[in-house]
Amino acid sequence: MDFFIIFTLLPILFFAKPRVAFIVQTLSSLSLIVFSIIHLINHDYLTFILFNSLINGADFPIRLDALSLLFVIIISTISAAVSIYSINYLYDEDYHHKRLFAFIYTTFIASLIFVVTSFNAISFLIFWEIMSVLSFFMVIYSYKNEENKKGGFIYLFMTHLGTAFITLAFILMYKNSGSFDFNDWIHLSLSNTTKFWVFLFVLIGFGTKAGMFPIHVWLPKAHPVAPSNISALMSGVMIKTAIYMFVRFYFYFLNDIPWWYGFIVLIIGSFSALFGVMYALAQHDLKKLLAYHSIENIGIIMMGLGSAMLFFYAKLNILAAFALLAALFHTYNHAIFKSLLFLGAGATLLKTHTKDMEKYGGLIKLMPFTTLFFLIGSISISALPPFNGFVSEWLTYQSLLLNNNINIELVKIFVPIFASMLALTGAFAAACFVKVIGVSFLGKPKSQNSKKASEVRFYMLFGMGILASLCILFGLFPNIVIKMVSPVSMLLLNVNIASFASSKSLFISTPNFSFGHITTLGLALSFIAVLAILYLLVKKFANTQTRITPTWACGQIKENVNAQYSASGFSQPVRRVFAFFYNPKEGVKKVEQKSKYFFPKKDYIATTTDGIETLYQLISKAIINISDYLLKKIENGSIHIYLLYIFLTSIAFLIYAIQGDF
Amino acid sequence: MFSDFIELIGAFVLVLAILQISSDRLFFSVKVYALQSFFVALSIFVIGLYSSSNDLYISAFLTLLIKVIIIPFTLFEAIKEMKIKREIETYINITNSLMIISSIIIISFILTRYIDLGGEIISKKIFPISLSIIFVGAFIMVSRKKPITQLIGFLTLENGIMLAATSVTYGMPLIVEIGIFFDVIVGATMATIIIHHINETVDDIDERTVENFEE
Amino acid sequence: MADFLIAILQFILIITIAPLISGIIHKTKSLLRGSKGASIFQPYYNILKLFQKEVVLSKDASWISIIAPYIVAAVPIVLAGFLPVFNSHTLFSFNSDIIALVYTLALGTFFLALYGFDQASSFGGLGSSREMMVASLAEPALMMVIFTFALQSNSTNISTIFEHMHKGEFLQFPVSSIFALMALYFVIIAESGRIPIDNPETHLELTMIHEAMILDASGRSLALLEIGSFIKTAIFLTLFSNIFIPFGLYEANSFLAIFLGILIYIIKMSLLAVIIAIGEMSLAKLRYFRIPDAMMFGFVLSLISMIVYRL
Repeated sequence: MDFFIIFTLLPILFFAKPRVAFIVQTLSSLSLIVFSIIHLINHDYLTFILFNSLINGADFPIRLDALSLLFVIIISTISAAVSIYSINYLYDEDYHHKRLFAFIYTTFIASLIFVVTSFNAISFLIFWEIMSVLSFFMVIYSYKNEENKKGGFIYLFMTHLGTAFITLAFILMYKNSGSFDFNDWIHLSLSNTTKFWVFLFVLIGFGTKAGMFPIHVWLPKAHPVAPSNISALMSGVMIKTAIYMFVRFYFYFLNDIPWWYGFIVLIIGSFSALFGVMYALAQHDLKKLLAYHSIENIGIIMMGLGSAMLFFYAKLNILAAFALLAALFHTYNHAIFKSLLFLGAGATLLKTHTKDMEKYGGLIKLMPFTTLFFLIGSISISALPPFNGFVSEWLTYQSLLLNNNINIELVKIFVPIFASMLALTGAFAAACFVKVIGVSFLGKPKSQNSKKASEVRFYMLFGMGILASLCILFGLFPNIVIKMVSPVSMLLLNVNIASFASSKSLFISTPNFSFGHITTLGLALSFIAVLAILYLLVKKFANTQTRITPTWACGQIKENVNAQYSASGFSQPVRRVFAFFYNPKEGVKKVEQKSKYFFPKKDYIATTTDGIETLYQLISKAIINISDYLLKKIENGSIHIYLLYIFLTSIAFLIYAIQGDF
Repeated sequence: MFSDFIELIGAFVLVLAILQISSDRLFFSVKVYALQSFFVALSIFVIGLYSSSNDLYISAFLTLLIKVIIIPFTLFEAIKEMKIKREIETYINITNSLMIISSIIIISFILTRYIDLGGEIISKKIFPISLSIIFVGAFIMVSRKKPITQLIGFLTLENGIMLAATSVTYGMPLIVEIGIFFDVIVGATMATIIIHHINETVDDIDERTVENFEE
Repeated sequence: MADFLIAILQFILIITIAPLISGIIHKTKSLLRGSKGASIFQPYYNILKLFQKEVVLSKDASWISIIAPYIVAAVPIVLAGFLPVFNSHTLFSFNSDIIALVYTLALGTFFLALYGFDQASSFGGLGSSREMMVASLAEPALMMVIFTFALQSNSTNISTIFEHMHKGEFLQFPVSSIFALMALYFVIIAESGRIPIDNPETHLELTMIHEAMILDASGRSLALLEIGSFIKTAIFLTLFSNIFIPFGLYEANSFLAIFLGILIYIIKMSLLAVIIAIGEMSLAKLRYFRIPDAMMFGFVLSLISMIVYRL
């Protein structure tokens, strides 16, 4: 108990010396991982009161059960790596007020941990708010930037909209259980209407934080403008706290959920996934692209979650545990590779001073290690074997396939469609990262800035290296994560999923082993063996000479770096095919006619608009119009009318009060 | 066995209806229609074998004669004579049309689950298929610009009705069917003649110009 | 031990027969055009020839250009070890999952597309862009078909699916298979870059997809990339033939059975190659922006297959 509090809060004390704070944060995160794993394996779940508050029933209890511990592990893994990275990053990027930065950073991580361990609605909301506000501060850290202010404002608004819904859900739960303590909420039996409202409020409230479609608009605006290490934390772990609460509510607090709850989550998940990846494909701002990929991955997680809920409804607990495993595994994986990618983006941003991918190019030679780590992250996020993203996506596919066991026609028809949407998502993700790597890391430098780029310093590489090796480790040995998730499935569904999903060592399989099983390690080894044999054969029998020449440029003598394929060129086919979706605007912006015999100098622009954003703008415009109208009608400046309002209100309250007496 | 075979033919008719949606050439479109009608005729013939009713043989023969030979031939001639652009113009592009169509097909398959058609296996299997074909035909009529493609949509729709009628009730009375054939052939001829005549006065034939005529 | 030998034999069979398919397609097309055409073994000579030549590499190329050809070649070779040809014992049977197969293929495509970018030439990126788009759009139809068969045979293991398909005869095929067959054909055409999606015989900027990516490749790199694409086609055709032409998966270990199995397999593959060649001869290449329509058509077919199977 003391350990936990000390490790969580210790780094904050060192904020005056940022470097030390980051080192302490790393060490305490590592200790927290060890602490959590020990408790998880021994099924030793602590409960204690952080401190008593004066208000009765609103203490600050902490409960470290399996689900909380799993999320503590996820948060700590990422924060450990990001903290190492920050040791160099903070000074190289040279942010102002470094102590303030360190203070917010460490407190943010502590608040994340308390969010997933709090076991009382009030204390949860307090930590939730602290987390939201601190991340808002980080978003507007470079507050002189217009983009930051705008993104921060939208974030602040959306997150409080979400909190409002969360509060509503909590109030409903309180009304029916008579307590704010989460212990009294476990498997609470609610009437069907109340259950529906709780489901909906939780979905909207936490969905806003998760960046779920269609309430994701803040995410691509706020995440990219924050400092890169904070983006990594926000995209990697902060949005996962929403997933944590989804699992808590839908599997732990609610009871006997109808089938269509799961189906709705499944629908929203598949749309989020497809929507996120398609917008990511059209972006050429590297960090914005990654932010859209967060939406995609939240979608994939929710697909796993949705099918778990369907199984939960059908009382197929083993399969529910399997689908939950898919969701939680992907949660962990996404935390790892998305943080890695954000850190990589931070490194390139640091050296090239631009987020525009079109201005990178050729970084593989200037920043070889960053490129390698970024490549590993890309392969993982594209769900290509044998890295970790593949494992969780395979599990998600299998749980979708297994949904066939549920005897509902609509599910049986639509689930294969969702699966093919997932397939399209995966393929587009791969296309998107081909674009990112091809345009920004390969080829020739496309601007002066990227020509001058150099490799980042050791601690930054070390931080990325940890995450990259975790990508490989969890890809080859998925059983490690399955072992971690197993206590969670034990807690929620009373199923030890490790004995089903990894019944044979080194294999992962569906609960029924013959239905589907893979071994990524075996795949990797056979791949390496084939690669080695191929290499030896080529070396022995083929001509091994290599001649280095300039690239053939169709006879042009002068090298033109802009002749390389650009990011917007890469995504042009998709933009055109799905034009109804992107609403693209392409055209020539500026024409400068120098001589009539030569091509004029043109600025080509291609933009896409987020359809949902347009919808939001329409709504906000309508609200403003209505308010304007009402303002003119109601508040017309006459003092008599205002007095009348006061009078009417007091009468209304009076009537209400009297009514209560009867 | 029989029902499987009928279902297979019905499936081909549906595939051709979808191919109709994804075609962008007029000639190809007409060819697809002819092939589709051939399969409809085949299905009528096979159901005739199954229920050994002579009416259905005649009906199959008439389908073959009118829909596979006469109407496509007339349409070919009309397209050639009118010298209209041989590309199909649509309001909704083909990819989106196909997406819409797939949802229409799903809906019609789900809907027919709740319609009681009696115990016959054939009707249970073929009815959703023919309902989808009817919807696809209707969709072609809605989404295409040129009158001639709308005509093809109508003919596709009619094929769907034919398929449904024969499979569900083993054919209508012969006289009704002949009436329908007569209607179709008259309709098709009229349509081609009208389009043809409009073409002599206006160059660009599409629905918008027809709308202008009404004013 | 005998199982292991059979597995090795199947593995080698797929790899060695792969260039032959391309040769047969080419020969058939030549014959149909009225010319004599090169020998059906020409692709083998081409690969041998390429291995004898030096590699000409751009000065802008990085290590991606060096490793990518090996990965692109190794991925289909590993996958060849997943597939049963005439016996359900496969070399990498521990891993022969069909979803894994699709995603591992995507790994090869990923590195191939990166290879296109690495030489800083404008053609490479163009090819990568087009290839990724076509591959992405083919994916939903492929996954839908896989789903249909996985549900029918109640497993995602390739050997189990094949065995299930071979147990039932043609007549026990559900009607839905006919749609799945057509959808899978579309996918195969798209993935292996044949007419009407892509034309492997020309190097024209306006149309080339696969060839644009490997335009800067030469020598052993080109040979490896070619081997990769040959085996990839062979894998898809093996998948297709074993699902839809369910003859020749023998359980027996006798020499006769093996011999017959190999013979039937070669006949099936040649037949498919001829069908593809005839298809290529009778169709014009689609405009690039018509490809999504074709892929969507394939997807709708697979969807109908699923629905007809279900309802």
